[in-house]
Amino acid sequence: MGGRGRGRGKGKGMTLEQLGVQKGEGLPERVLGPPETYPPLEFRPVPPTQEKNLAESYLLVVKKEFREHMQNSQYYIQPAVKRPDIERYSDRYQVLAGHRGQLSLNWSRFPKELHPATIAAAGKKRKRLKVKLAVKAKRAKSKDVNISERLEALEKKEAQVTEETEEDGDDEGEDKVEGEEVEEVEEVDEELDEETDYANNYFDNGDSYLDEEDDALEEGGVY
Amino acid sequence: MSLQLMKLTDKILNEYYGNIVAQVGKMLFERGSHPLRDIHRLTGLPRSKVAEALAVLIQHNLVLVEEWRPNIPSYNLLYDRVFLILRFPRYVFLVREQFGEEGEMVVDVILKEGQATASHIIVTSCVKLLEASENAAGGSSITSSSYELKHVTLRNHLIKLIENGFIQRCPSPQTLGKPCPSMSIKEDELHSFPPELLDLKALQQEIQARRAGNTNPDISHPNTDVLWRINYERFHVEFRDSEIRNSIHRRVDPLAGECLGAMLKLSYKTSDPWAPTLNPVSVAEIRDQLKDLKYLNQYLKILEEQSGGCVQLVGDAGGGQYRLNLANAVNTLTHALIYNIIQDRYGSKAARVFRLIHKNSMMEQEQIAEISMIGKKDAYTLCSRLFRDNFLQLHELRKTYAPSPANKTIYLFHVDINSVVRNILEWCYKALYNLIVQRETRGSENRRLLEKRTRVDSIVENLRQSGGTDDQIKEVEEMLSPRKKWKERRGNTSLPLVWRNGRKGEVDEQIKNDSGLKDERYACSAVSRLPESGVKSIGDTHGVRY
Amino acid sequence: MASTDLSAEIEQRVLELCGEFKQGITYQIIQNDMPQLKLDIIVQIINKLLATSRVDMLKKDNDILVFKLRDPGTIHRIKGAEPEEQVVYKIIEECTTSGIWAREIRAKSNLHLNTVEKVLRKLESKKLIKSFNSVMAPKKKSYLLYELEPDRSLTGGAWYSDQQFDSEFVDILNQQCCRFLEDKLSTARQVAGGPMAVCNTSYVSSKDVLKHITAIGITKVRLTIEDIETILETLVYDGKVERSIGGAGASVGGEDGGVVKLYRIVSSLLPTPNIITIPCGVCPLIKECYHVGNVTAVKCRYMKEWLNLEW
Repeated sequence: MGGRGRGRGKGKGMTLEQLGVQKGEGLPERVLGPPETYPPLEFRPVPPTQEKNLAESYLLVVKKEFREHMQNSQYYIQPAVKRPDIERYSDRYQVLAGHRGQLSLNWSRFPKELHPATIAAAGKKRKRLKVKLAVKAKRAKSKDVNISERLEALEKKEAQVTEETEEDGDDEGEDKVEGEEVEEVEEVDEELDEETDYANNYFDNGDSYLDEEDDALEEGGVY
Repeated sequence: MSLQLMKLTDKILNEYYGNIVAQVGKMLFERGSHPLRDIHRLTGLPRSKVAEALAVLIQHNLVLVEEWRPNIPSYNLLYDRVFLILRFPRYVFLVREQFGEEGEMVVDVILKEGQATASHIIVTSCVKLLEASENAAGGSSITSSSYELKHVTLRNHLIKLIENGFIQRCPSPQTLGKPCPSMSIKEDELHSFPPELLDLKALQQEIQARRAGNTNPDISHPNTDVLWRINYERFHVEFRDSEIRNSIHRRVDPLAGECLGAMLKLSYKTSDPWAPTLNPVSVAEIRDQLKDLKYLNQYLKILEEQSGGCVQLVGDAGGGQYRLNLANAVNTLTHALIYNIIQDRYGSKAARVFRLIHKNSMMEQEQIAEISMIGKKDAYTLCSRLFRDNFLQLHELRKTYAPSPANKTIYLFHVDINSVVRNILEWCYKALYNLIVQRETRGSENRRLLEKRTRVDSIVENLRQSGGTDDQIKEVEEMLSPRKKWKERRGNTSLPLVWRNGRKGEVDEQIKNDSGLKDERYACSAVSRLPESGVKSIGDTHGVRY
Repeated sequence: MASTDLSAEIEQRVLELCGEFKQGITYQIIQNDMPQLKLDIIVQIINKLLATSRVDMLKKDNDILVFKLRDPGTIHRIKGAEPEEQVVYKIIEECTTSGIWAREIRAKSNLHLNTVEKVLRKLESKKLIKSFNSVMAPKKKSYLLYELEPDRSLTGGAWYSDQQFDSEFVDILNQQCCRFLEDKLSTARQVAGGPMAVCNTSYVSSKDVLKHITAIGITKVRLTIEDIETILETLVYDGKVERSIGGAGASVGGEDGGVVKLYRIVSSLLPTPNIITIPCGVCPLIKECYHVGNVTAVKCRYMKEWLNLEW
């Protein structure tokens, strides 16, 4: 109990000297009300020099053009983008603008798992696996490389067909886009549930490497 | 690694490659290298989209593919490159200054594609240049000879840029058909251009076809598997050197800057431009380069004295041997930059205090006030402001920890340049982020006006081309009422914003250069130990996941 | 009782000893010198000397008494004063131009603080001592002999008026020196003979700067070379000026053949940093700025002002 009283003891608190204020110096005026969120600036931004402005305006134009180019190029990936309804200066240079939807790249330079063909095949395969359980079981049993290769080829064709339809769909407007989004959400769920399925796609190139650690981490196989 | 840089990276990716790429980038920034499956799971994006995003990032040299487990690639974001996107206009500008508009166009095309074949580069830039000159000439006044030779000129420019190291060849997959291609390239292939890669006839055919309106002509080129990209380092050497030259220009005179430039050029013949010190060059060699310079010896002497340790006399052979110490040069410039920032942000007395403390390492408040000739209270205020903003550090000295009035604690101020630089960098990232946000907000607030402006501009442009009279043009211009014009100008303030962005890039340039130097294991350069070490340690903790 | 002759002789000897040991003698020293003397005789002699104010008695930390010869001048000046006054006067006198605080006098004299203060007031009214406020501790009074001037380090020399640091004066001198050096550089630029010649001509010795400052007559305060060098050093720390040491016989060297400090104006190595041209560069809130809350990029007032008014 004694301890509690001690702090208040003489009620002196800190002296001004302790706070670094000298006697007789006068305290700063008491602040009434909250301080301004943005106090007035003591130093203002330095205005740019003229010569700099000239070079900068070139940089500015290039930058803007570049940004707009990228936003209209095949590299700007977004499920639902509307082309702006105005004509832009940069449109003249939009050689690639028509390529939306399917990246046109030299795929031999990329890991195989990124190729659109692989992705499409994976997607199709998964759907088919889900729907046609019987077929799936059969395939699992036989593990025939030739068969799966042939299937892949078939799926590629299928994929191409779907792409075309998708492209058509883009023009149809917003309703369609919404539909697509819903689809995508479903797809995500599927994939989250079926890690192993994904892992199998991963290795279906014929290499028999299995990652034990991964298997241990994830739920049991579907097969 | 920094939170500010992450926010900025996210913003930039969003702006240039869209939201999906940005999400993938952000996840990779936060967690480091991951395989596709984990990216897909952690971002919650459809796998096809993740794959596309990764492909885009790889194509633009922003992601490095590593073999994580045999045949399983993992993807590593080169986040400092993302930030460099803002610097692209400066790359283009530099090439334009040194190689003219053909060079400019070549680099522009490469930057937009990330990696591109020589034929693509030449055809695209050729088509654009011809279009542009036609527009400028207002029709068909281009002579057929210049038209036919354009692609040859462009090829020559491309080769020149490659040989000067601004453009390099991308590594190629060594094993075909593997799930994770291992990319490599021989040192000597990086900057040489094998002539058999181009078929000039095919080029010309494609250019003609493109100009005739055929966007995808079926013409094959022999170089589909050889791609070229920008060599960032080369540009940064150029930027750094021009900073060094300009500083000497400011301090002494333009000729001194030229002299230093010549010394740099000579030194690069025998040394790696990122080495802390370059191999010495002799006065005789320098004189060869600068035959017209009148007072060479005086200039050399003055450079030795005034370059902040950049130019050092190391021997007498060949009329004197000079060595360039770039580590010193960069240090000196970094300090100058910090002083300038403090001066403009806190006033010249604060800069005086900072310099004083920096030069004397540890200082007590009393001493500071005395030597800097600033009233004690003012000196105290300045010190505490600088301390609060992390420009100064405080060192506490006391004999014992027993609290007694007689046992006075001594507080010493000192400067840790590394932490100051790190601090300024952070703050630059934040400023850049803020500017981009501001531009976006302004842009969307005034979108209608901006669009209208664009429309009016294009109508005016058309009128002008079709020979409309000034009156007509004026009439259209007036479609924007004064009030609207005013507002529109406000909208356009996003413009200065953007270029200020670019400028800001430059600020970091300075600092970035320094950390760049650090990469090269600059033991002596104080500024260098910076972000890299931090990045590594954070990277490691994330690596623990595996 | 010893004869008068003898006591006069002993007295003389004690005074001699005091003269030999400037810091004072102890009883022990007297005894060692004249072992045949008895204690009471020594005490008698000492008392006599004390009574006639020819020696002072001080007490050392270890309670040993020390006797010191009294300065004849002092004897004259404070003749008839009370012993406390004499002690205090003595202490103040010893501190010469650096002055001493009342507290320290108390510690040295072993007198009570109240007594010390009373004595000090008395001495002050007699114009034997005076007080002043040191710039180091402007609220504390220091005392020194009336006829002395306090040390420069205490008054702050030329830079203080009424114990207040005159920063305006310093700033003006700083600017004037800077302008002078700038002029020198622009004249040097006209010099033919290469960049080194320009550089060498633009150097100015501190002496010449002083001459110039005195000549333009901005101040009545007499400045010394050291004063002007202090100012020039601030310019060096401002990054505006470079210092070099010229040996004797250099073109601008001094006649005294000593080392001459040379100064020359230099421009900053870098232009205004770009970050400073935007509000974030000078923003006092940059640390608090975040994407949520009251201080954000979108809500930023500085940004708005900057974009709307082109300042």
